[in-house]
Amino acid sequence: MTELDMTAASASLGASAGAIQAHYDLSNEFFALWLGSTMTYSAALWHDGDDLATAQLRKLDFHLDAANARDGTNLLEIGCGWGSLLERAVTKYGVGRAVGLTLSDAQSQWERAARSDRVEVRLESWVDHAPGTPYDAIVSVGAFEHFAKAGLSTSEKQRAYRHFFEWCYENSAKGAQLSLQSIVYENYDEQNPNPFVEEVFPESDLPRLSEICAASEGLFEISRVRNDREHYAKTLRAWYRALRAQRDAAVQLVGEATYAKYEKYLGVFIVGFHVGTVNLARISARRIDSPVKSVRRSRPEASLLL
Amino acid sequence: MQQAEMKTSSLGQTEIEHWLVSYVAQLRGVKQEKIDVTATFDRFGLDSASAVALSGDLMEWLQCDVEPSVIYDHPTIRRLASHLVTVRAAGARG
Repeated sequence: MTELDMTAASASLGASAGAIQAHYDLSNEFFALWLGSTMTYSAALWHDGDDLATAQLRKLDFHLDAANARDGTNLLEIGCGWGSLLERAVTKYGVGRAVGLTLSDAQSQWERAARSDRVEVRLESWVDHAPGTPYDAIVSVGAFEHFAKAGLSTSEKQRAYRHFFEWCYENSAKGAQLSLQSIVYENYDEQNPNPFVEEVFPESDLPRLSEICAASEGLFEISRVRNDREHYAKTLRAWYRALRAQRDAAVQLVGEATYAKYEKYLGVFIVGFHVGTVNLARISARRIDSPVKSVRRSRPEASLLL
Repeated sequence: MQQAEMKTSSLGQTEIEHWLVSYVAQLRGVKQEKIDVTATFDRFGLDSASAVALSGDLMEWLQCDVEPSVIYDHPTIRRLASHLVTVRAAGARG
């Protein structure tokens, strides 16, 4: 299989650009109504007394610290949303270069408006991204949820995740640090999926914490794991309240049916995080520069030989 | 809906319990007499989407904030009604 075929095979394991755009390209103005001033669409990191914006900036700093972002760092963010972390990396951490990948056209357009010349936003999957220089730091917040398509077999799903860590390994410099955040299944039965979630996030399946850990083994050493589902419940409650408070404006932008779908989805996710159906993993890891086992790309056809 | 026309200022434990009984009975398509106010909501087959819808309807009726996850923290009609009475009293004072 050629390199190109392999890329295509791996790309097809994750949610397609169309599926990503179906959710994230809905309307920047609509998301701005309830995500708050930072336009950050992932769980915040709350301390007592925080408002949403403060807790979101705390989350960005948590990941930038974990990735060891500093003066001159060449930083990659996989799934950069509307660019809040890239902006923070440049303005607060003084990184030399901040590259963000997104599959959402609307997100990439939004970022384009306000970007610093040290920020580069690319409408591209990590699968297709070929950086000139290896990255010193890789952050991915709320994207891993889309790296495996719904309906994959357990081994295909594992291979999709493994490919992600192999890609990060090959495209990062010695001593690189990785900081990931993803929703994970917790007290959940994969055999009995909630069809409504598929309707909101088409094609996407969630990982389990154990699958992420297994996929990174031998490539990245996990130095810290936090499970923060109550932080996501609290973030979602803030979004839910804001969306309901902006009901009329939201309906104007996206219509009654889409408004209702989002209100329901935020509510259902609040319940999911509150009761522990799903969890929120934040994982810090460092590159294993001298692995005892040779690091080989798992070839998509290899599974046929098992 | 007749319930919605009920004056919300004078609502106590009994009225809220009655509203919840009628809501759950209608949702499940069973007689109100079949609804035990001390049984947990999962007995009535309420899933997370029904929980969210219920909290939304309660917010509209009672004109106060009700968490979508409220039935998981106050898992019977009796306990939920008691919680809502407390929330409304706190809201009225505030």
